[in-house]
Amino acid sequence: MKTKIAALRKQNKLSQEELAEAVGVTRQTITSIEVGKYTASLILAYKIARFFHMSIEEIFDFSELED
Amino acid sequence: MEKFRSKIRRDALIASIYCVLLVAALITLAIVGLEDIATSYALGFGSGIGAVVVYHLIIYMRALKDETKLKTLYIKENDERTRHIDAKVGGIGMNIAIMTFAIGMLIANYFNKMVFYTLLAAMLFLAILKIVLGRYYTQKL
Repeated sequence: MKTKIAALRKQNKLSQEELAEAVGVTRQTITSIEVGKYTASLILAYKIARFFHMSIEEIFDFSELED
Repeated sequence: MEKFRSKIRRDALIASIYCVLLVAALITLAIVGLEDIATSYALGFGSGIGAVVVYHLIIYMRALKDETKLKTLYIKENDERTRHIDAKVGGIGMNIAIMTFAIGMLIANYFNKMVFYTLLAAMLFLAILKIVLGRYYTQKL
């Protein structure tokens, strides 16, 4: 699944480690989500969205599921 | 985090009890003397597990003294991707083990009946375990 996490992180000058610590996962999990290898759970998606003060849909691209 | 701290404290206590029992067993066997291969094997197995337990005990003790290390340990133990990987490894691993035992059983049947029955028992145990766990989690989730 495509996400805007990497872009948002860079925009906010955050490292993967810092974001990972803030949402309670490992850095490797953030890496996997950013490259689209792993799809975050609803809880993690919510935590990430809340961290960036955005909605889940604004960060995660669900267009693939609509096909 | 307090709930996790309590869990770590409990795990550290269990690990400590295991270590004490292992040392007691080692001392007892050193006094009495090793009688057979089975006891020797059990002791070696227990000592191997003991090394892993001590390793975890050190990690737990360090985490209980340092808040940052406790948080890192919490993240490491509760990371959802790691749990997802573990679930995949467990599920696929068990299927591969069952298939391997089944193939080994078919081959062993031509050479050694004892090996055949041992593999059959191991395969049946894994298959039953898979069914029981499957039913349990189907009801639980």
